[in-house]
Amino acid sequence: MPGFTTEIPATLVTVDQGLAREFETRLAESSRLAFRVAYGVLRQREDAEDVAQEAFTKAYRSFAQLRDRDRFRAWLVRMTWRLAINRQRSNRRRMSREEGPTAPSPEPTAADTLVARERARQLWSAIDALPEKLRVVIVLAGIEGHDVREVATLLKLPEGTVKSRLFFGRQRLKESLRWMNGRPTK
Amino acid sequence: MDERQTDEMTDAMLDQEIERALAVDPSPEFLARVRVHIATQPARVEWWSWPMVVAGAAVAVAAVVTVLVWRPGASQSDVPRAASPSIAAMPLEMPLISAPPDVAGLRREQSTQASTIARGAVIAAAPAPADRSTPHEPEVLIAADEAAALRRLMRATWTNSAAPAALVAAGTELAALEPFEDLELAPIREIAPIRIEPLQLAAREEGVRQ
Repeated sequence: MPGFTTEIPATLVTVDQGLAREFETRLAESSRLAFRVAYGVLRQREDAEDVAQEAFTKAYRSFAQLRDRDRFRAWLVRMTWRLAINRQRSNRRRMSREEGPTAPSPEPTAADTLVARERARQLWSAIDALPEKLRVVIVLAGIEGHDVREVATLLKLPEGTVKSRLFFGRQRLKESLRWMNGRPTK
Repeated sequence: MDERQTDEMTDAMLDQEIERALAVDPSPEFLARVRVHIATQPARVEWWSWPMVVAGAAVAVAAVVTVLVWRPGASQSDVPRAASPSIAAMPLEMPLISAPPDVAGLRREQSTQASTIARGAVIAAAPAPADRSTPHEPEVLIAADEAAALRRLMRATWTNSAAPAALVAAGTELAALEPFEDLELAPIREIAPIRIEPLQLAAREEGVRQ
């Protein structure tokens, strides 16, 4: 830019390099978390990677305010969740326009069997049916063995709130799965 | 007991199932893709944004000032007085109320006083070109019959022949309310001319909005 192309002060360069190094560290340790949060909503690897990448790009732009590790992870999880929900909604709209509603098929695994696939499909449809507040707690608790305290930190919620949401979320999931298996609750 | 154990097992199984369902890793090239994507983002240079902020603030201030000065329906008193000539320096060319030719001498003596009256009350029935040249003066509209009555009163005063009966004969309603027959007006022998000196105001003292 004309008029501003003079030498950049050494302090600025140092700060930028320090920020870049810190961001690289956060990127390496949080990439799987962001991807899995997005995957928990979208269940499409490509879509989840796109969303996680977008979240990291936004995080990079605001990294000066997100240098603290816990703060960064919490911000990243919430941003990824929000972007994934938005992507899911637009995907559903597009699919309903093009070919009607279809359930997304889970990724094939090594122990992929017809029963396992059916069970996973049921599980995901039960999770999808949860209210968003319960859903995000269930998904985060299922990622990397997060306990209640970690989920509370990521969502900036009291631990008691997370506990109760986990409880109600599990109850609803169990009821849904029983109903899907032909064993409705009493 | 069996029911409770079944429920607890179901909880554990449920958690395991969810963990298994979420145990999906991104592709190996995911990290590299993110790094490339971030590297292609436009660099953030914070000191670059300050001129933009200053310019934006200046534009906003200018817009606010423009709206305040030129807002629709603003009265003439809101217009900065610096643009109008000083009242004290204005030439006293307001048209005098028409006087009879035989009282020209008296008119000269009392011109200052009459000008003061004329400036405060511009008679709409007889607008003069000079009125149009001073648009910042407040315009006072009075009825034509009132203007005529005022002319008669002034004429009678100048000619020392202020006969109340003449005023009554003019048909003013005021005469009906206050009979003048018993009044005795002493003729005005001499009126010391009133001297109005221009105000010595500094230029900056004008135009201050109260």
